[in-house]
Amino acid sequence: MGTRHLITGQNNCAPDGASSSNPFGALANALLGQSNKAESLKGLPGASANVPTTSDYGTAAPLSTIPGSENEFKQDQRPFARGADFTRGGPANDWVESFRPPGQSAFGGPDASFAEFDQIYNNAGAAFGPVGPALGGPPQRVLSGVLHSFLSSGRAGVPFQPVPIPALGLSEGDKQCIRDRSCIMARHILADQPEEYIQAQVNTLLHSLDIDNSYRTKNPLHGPYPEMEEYWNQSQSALRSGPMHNAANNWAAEFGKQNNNPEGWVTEFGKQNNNPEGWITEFGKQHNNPEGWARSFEQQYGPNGWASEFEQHQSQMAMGQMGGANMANLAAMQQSRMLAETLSSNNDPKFQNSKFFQFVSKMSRGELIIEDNEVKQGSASQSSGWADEFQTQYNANANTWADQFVNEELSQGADKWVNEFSSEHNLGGLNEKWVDEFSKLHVDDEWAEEFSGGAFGESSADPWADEFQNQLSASKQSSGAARGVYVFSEMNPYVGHPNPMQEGQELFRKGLLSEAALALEAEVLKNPDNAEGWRLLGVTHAENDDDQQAIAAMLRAQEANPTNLEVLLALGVSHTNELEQGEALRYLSRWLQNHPKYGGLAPQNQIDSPYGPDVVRLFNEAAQMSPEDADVHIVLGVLYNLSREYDKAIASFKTALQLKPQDYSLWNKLGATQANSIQSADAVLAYQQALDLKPNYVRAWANMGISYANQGLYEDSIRYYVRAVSMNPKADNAWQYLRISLGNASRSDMIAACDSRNLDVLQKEFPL
Amino acid sequence: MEASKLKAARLLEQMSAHLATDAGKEITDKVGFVYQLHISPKKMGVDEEIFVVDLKKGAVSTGPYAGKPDASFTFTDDDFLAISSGKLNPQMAFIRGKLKIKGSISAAQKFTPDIFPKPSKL
Amino acid sequence: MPAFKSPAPGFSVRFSPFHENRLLAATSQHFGLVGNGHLLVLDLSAAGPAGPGLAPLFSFPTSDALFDCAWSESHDSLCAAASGDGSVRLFDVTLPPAQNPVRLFREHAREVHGIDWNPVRRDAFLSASWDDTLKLWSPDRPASVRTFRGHDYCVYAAAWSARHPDVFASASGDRTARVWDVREPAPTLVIPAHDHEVLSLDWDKYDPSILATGSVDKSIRVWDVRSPRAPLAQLAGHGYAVKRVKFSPHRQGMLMSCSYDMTVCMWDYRKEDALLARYAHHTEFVAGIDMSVLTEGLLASTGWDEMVYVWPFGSDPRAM
Repeated sequence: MGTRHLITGQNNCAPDGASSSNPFGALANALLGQSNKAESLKGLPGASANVPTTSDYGTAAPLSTIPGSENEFKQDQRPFARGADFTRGGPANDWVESFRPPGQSAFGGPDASFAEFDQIYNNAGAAFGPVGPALGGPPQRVLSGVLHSFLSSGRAGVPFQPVPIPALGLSEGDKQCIRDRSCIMARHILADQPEEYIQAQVNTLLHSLDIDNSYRTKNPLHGPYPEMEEYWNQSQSALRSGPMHNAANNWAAEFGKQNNNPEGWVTEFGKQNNNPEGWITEFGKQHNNPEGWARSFEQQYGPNGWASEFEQHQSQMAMGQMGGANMANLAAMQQSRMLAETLSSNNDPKFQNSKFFQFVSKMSRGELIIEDNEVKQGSASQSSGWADEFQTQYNANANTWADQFVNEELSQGADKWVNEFSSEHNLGGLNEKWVDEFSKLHVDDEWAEEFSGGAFGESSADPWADEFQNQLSASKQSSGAARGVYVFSEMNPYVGHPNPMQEGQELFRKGLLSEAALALEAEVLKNPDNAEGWRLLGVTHAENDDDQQAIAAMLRAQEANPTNLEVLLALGVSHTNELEQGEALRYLSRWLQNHPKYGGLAPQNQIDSPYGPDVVRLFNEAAQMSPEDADVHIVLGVLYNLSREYDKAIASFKTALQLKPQDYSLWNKLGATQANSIQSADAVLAYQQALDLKPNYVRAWANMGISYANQGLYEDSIRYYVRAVSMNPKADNAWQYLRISLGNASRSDMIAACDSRNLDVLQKEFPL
Repeated sequence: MEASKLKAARLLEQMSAHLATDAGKEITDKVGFVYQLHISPKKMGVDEEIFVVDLKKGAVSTGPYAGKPDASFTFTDDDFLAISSGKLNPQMAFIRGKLKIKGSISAAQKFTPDIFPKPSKL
Repeated sequence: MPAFKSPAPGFSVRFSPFHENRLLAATSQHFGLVGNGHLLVLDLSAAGPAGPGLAPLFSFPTSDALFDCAWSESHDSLCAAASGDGSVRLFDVTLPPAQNPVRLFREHAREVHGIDWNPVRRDAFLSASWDDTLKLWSPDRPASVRTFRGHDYCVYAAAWSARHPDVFASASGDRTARVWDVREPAPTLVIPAHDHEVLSLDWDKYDPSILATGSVDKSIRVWDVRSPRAPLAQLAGHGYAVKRVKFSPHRQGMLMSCSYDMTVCMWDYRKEDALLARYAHHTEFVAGIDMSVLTEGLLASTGWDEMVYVWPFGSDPRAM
């Protein structure tokens, strides 16, 4: 493997540097497969089985003996080149080379091409084992022609040369796979070709792979359905006129008619339903049984139809080829002529370069061998996750629709879709948007309700259902709160509580912030003008590290009481956090204007966009007036944050802390200021003080994570972020930062858990 | 940068300081490209201000880069902040037309949220 | 634009209905003829803003080719895959490969080629198989809920109505498209849709009576099930068989298609000049396409060139 990396790491790629589209690498991968490491998977066998010696091809027809054609002359290198290909043992690049027009070297010259080949060759060697030296074989345009004739636009079905049978190691299962799938797929790809041609191509492929083609399972249905169309036209002609194939204009008219008669088609359907089951039944009757037409088809063409006839013909042909060298030679000669024509007729470079065509040709030549070591994947080891949950759920609540369905009488189609269509049309339901209807934000998801309301709902046995709810509220929140509109939680248990305000205050004191927010929401729903309710709700959100909601709540508080100083300070702080300088300054200067003691310092007219240094000067005057007022120092600290004078900000907060050492939010402000002025180590100490005073202070936990991340200590930061989001799963910022830190700490394996907000997994993985 | 009313300017100032730290130097070592940012207050391309985040030298400055930046980005103030904080994925921003890119793909690919410092909250 | 190199030729790609940056891709070795499969979960946001990004978030190897895949509409980490060995497999992408698939349904006698999750009744999905049948499944049941017989050749695709929880349509090599009601034993409507095999179909998300079919005859036909005698529109432009068709979840009348001609096309069937765009970014057959429900105009495709591309409508998938 080391060698492989070394080699592929070499700078000997194609000059155009298109490594991702490197056809050789891709080809090698396609042919070698990637999964032989996985035990349960099918792998490719070693070198011995699939490297035929050159002598196997020694008997190949001397193609150059075919007289007459230039193209044929070009092909005279084939036996040699093909052999050379095999001596290399791997998927050689001359396959690809062979697709290029003559005289045009793909990779800027033989050397480059060789280097490229070398790379592939060595890659191949990793799986195929050591083989002989690489030879620069001449382009084999004939072989590309084989591919084209197989799947592209060949004009006649001429088989490939048979490949020596002992070289192949396909299991019966694999053979059947190839047989079945190539039959079906070839028909999709070669739709333009006559069926005989497709058959011949497939047979040739199968034959060359030593696959018995005498019992193919799937034959195509032949021809259009004459009976069906006849019936169709008959049955419709009574209702409508106009020939079927001239319908391009008719439909519009018809549609118009139907629109005049909104239930037109339904009526029509209804009429048909007077015949118990509509036209299908009628059709069935006509033919004595529902599969009548198919039967009659069979009668007409025999049990396997014309196809079996053709098959017989084909196998005879195949036998013939195997029978004698003369036949083979003959076939080969004819083939080369056809191929030459094909080649000259198809100039689409895309098809010429198609790896698929190359692949099929490889297969047909027996170079590709697949071993069947089928190990069944265990379905028994469903130990955790969704499956268990589901099983539990299913056992507990066996009454699912599927059961009902099974128990139901199938034929009781009281409300058929037909009726539904009609009722909907009557309701004008068409105008609803599909997206809305299926929007994942829709609450009335049966599943979610079943889980959250059911026996398991409260016991958190259903992380995904919770998560769904979280996502739901999270996405709603982000859409609403961004516009400064407060977003209420769904299903608030405190709605109807006799005294949610008191409850909210109590919960806040206990540090149960998310619960407190719910109770306070219930309060402000009840009393929308309760400024204190809104304010405390805003504080709660700020401490819960959600500034958007904090701002929204504080705006409502300010509406209810425009002069509340705490509200004005909180708005100033939150806007500072959101880097909204102008807004922050406005609220902080209003704080001064409305202060009973310092109001006189401020200019009385409201200033829309106060000048920062002016505001700072006024607050310094206030601080001189009453140096013992911690609040003034706090505002000053915030103001200095705004002007990025962090040293002064830190000094202001420290002064305030001497006056109010128990104010945890003040410790956090100090820490955040230190962090923003790249003193993250000091910041951690300040946050720790805050958390000692208030252990559930989500903002401080999140800030702690930021400080570690900004120091490059990503693993540590993850633990703090996880703590923050586990306390408040709605802390979007912390989730985003967590994701970034996971990436930085090379823990991409946990990003999915982060994206699905799977706290259980994260807490287990990153304990603090 | 101080004169700018953009939120981005606040973040970029912090970034400027951050790049001088050890963690910041790691970013410079890891990325090693020069990015030019065109940031508009509300509507993309209107009243845009230009910043240069030089992660070769570890410096942030205003005005166009003297020379050819490895990649240039155009976005609004809010979208830039959303990208730098990890709220908006650059790939998705690009797909939704909220981000325009010029220059080298490999340079643009390293323009991710982890090159920006995270502002701590008061 | 985001692009991803898959380990093997791609057969199907699907945007997650829950995460706008998540994609599911079904890939198969050896062009699905024989060999292993891989179910991949790709994360659009894993890379920078441009260039070959799309890192696989998860990768689940399977012992046979995968021809189709679908996300669960009920659970963001659950998805289903259609396997060449006739099995239908459910994966929980948050569980490691060793614990997957979380469900393995072995009922189809032949290759399962199509799978579709019910977007209305979110605990049901359908599989379409080369054994000529379709089966209805619920993830919580050990066996299929129903088997729908009636097609006379391979069924390649199934598509639930975007509106009616019990209605779906199927596309078959028997040249018909059929409309079924899960409560009815037989198809309620048989449309002899094309003169060749029908490989794919989809319902209009805005008009629940409109259906589009894609066929080996290179054409796409749009049908109104209320007057299924003739197509509403025929869209010509593909040079080979049409492998998949898909209606836009955002723009009425808009369709996406991919073909063995190696291109992806966008159409508006109601316009006279129906072809809106043609993308020739793949270098092999294009086998899988999808349109994001969560991000309007975001398209994805995958093909046998082992590439998965994601790009917004109106831009070049390979451009920056």
